[in-house]
Amino acid sequence: MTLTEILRQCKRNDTLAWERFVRDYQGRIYRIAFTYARNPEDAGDLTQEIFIRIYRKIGQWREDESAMAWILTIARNLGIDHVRRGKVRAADRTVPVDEHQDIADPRQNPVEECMRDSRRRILQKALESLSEISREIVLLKDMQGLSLDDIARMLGIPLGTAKSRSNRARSELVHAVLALSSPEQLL
Amino acid sequence: MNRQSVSCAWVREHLLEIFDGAISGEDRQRLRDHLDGCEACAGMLSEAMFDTGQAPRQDSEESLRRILAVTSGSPCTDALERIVSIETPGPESDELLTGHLEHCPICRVKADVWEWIRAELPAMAEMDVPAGLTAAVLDRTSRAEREAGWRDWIRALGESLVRRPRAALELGYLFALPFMFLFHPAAVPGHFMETRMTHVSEFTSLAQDEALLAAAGLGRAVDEKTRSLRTRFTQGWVDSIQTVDQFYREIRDVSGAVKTEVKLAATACSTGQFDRGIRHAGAAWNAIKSFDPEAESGDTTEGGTHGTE
Repeated sequence: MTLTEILRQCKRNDTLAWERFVRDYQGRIYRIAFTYARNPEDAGDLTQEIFIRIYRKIGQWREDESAMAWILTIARNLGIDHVRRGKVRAADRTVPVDEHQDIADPRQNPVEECMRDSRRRILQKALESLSEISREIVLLKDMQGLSLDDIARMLGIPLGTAKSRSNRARSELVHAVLALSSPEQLL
Repeated sequence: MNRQSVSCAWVREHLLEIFDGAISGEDRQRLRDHLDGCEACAGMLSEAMFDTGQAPRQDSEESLRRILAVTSGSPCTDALERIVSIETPGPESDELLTGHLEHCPICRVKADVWEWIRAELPAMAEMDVPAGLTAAVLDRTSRAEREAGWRDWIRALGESLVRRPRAALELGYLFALPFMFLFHPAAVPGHFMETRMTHVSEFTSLAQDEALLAAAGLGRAVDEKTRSLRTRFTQGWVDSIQTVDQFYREIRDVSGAVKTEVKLAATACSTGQFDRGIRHAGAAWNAIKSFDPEAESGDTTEGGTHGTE
């Protein structure tokens, strides 16, 4: 079932569809919440807030608009509110990759898994070192897979600006990764 | 003596003189000082001298790097921007970029690193959620109330109206009223005045016509009545004095009724009550018609009275 189909069912008060939606997308929502909250406790609270807001407002979702873009808009707005309310705990800015990355593929051997975690930790640190604007656009474009059109609409900026911001953020990310590790370590 | 060396711009400007050996001894010494400290200009001159057969070639990549450094700047910045802007990398993507990557190991590494990042990022879109989060979300959302969208409001309203048709009609009437007021041509201020004036003009004209008609009709009726009286006198079967008296009483009644009705019609038209005006004008005409010269005197009086009602 696609996200659009699931949301359509949710809109008709199908509780099973809602459960499916929560189970399938809580990891993504939690990731977005983590981008703004920066610590597991606040990210958990923010994730709940996001789901409750989605549940309440699902009647206002138009089926002809991108479901993911609609969800991310809600998540982003709540994330920004959360930051504005000063809920971000400045002391806890590191991401515990081992605890919060997705479950490892059992077919991979432990050495590979360890190397992958190590590389992801570097990438996570590089992401953390980016500016807010660059990190947000990498999150939306390259992690969540939104189109530049959706991003431009969501951020209220022209398409050309979204594209140049995305390219700049990607370049910054490459430099940040290379500053944190050697190419041999990554490739 | 403190001698000042030439600038890079000076070297580029005097390139031809340098090759031709046409620069002065002092400038040559200043150029030599500059080239000792500027690798870019030294590389550019070396490359140019090789091209003109005046010197053996140095390392071409190094030379190119120096030439680009004093002309367009390093292409690697643009190369990285192009690398990250490609959404679907493929062999046909960018010939110029491919050419650059063949010769620039640093950009090749950056391109490889970006490819790795691009592959990793979608996998990082999700995180393992803390234990109990799913249950907490489901619990809280099951207690939350939904905000209805406007379509839901309309659907609910439609369903309730179907159950109560009379209320639906009344609601429809209420909705229609403002639209009638807003979009009826007579409600538009300019158009309203124009239409009103046209109606006043038309109805006033109509009332005048009716009055003239009434007068003409009255004249014709008097003529008819006179002819009738003459006939009756001739026939001699009515008392002449009584008949003349009756005739003038009838004329007075009818003309009084016509006069009243025409006055009422004119007043109604001037206040915009056109229907009423027409009714009064019609009544005046009926009063005239009721003055039938062929009828008996009693019937005539009745007709005149009826016309003024």
